[in-house]
Amino acid sequence: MIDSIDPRIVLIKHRFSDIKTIIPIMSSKGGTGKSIISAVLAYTFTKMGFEVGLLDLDITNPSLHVVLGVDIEKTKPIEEKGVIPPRINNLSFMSIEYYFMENPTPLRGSEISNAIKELLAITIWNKKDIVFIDTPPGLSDEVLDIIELIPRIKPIVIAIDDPMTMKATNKLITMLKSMNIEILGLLENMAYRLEPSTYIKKLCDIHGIEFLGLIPYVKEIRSYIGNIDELYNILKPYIDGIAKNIMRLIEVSR
Amino acid sequence: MHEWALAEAITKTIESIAVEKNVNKIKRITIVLGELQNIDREIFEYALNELMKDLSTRKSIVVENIVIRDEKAELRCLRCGKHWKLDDVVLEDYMREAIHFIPEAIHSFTECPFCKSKDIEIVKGRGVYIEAIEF
Repeated sequence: MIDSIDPRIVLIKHRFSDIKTIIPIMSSKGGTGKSIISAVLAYTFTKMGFEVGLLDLDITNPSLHVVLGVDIEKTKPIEEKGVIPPRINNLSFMSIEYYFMENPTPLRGSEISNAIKELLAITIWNKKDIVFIDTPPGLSDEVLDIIELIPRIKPIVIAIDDPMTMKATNKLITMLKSMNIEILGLLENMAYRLEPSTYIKKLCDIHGIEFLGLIPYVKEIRSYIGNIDELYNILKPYIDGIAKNIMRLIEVSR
Repeated sequence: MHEWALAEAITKTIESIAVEKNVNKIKRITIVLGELQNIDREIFEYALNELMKDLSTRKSIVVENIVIRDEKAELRCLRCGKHWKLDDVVLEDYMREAIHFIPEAIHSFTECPFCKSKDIEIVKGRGVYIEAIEF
């Protein structure tokens, strides 16, 4: 006899079986630009002709819908033997916010995990070349659940060249490596110069991970939040090269 | 039809356990339906039967007896420690719909009825799980 089984765990593995590449965007500190990068990278891959999914797994502070300019009250997943994420700017976009509806939703650890498991179990992605996952900062529940529940993840780590973030980035990379997670690469955001930071390059060398490229500090970026096309246009000189590097590493084909 | 996904979770789990244990006959499974998720039992049972038939055809895995029991939902405040039932909470239809998909959405729409804290937890009756599998 077996007691008390969570049936969602097996289904979650199955839900990701038709997705070629799963890329969580991670960083150890808040405010490093994960959400904007997740959205713009995902959008860049749609421009390149790929079938792309975008999943917001920041459960208590989801913000991708703000980046994409989605009216969460009016846009809902389609119910069909599970739920199918709505198409937003050619992206299949899934978020817990369709259900939390921008209300403050404080959750402690086990309930965060429960919400993640439910969302992953009911979401039907169908065939996708890539699914990008926006994550909350740090090494807490969401990040650990992603590692435990989602198969074949290849995270991209976002770093900013400042001493606090660098220490924390080192911790994140060390943890991922200790859990045998293949890190796709490191991306420098809000760079001061158009050349990689010495510290960030050194971190890549120490850990033997790929430097994917950099995005400089773009002062006016805030005014484009809510319009993914404008965000893409302003970041295009940098993001296209980063996307090509990602493509080379994952070797997805249409 | 979100009930289909929940039934699918059950049958995929049974399949996985049966394959792992190298058995094709399961004497009994007990499934619990938590009140909070507000499952349409008729649709759930229909989906479960269809998926079980498919499991039997594909893998010759048979469950002889399926027991489904309901569990009343109970909530607790982590500040004042008091408990309450779902019947004590007033929810509009769109809130019930959101909670049906993600039971944690109850946190978005309610608070402790005694001290008004938002720091509450679901004690029981959350959603669907397998209570027991007997071989």
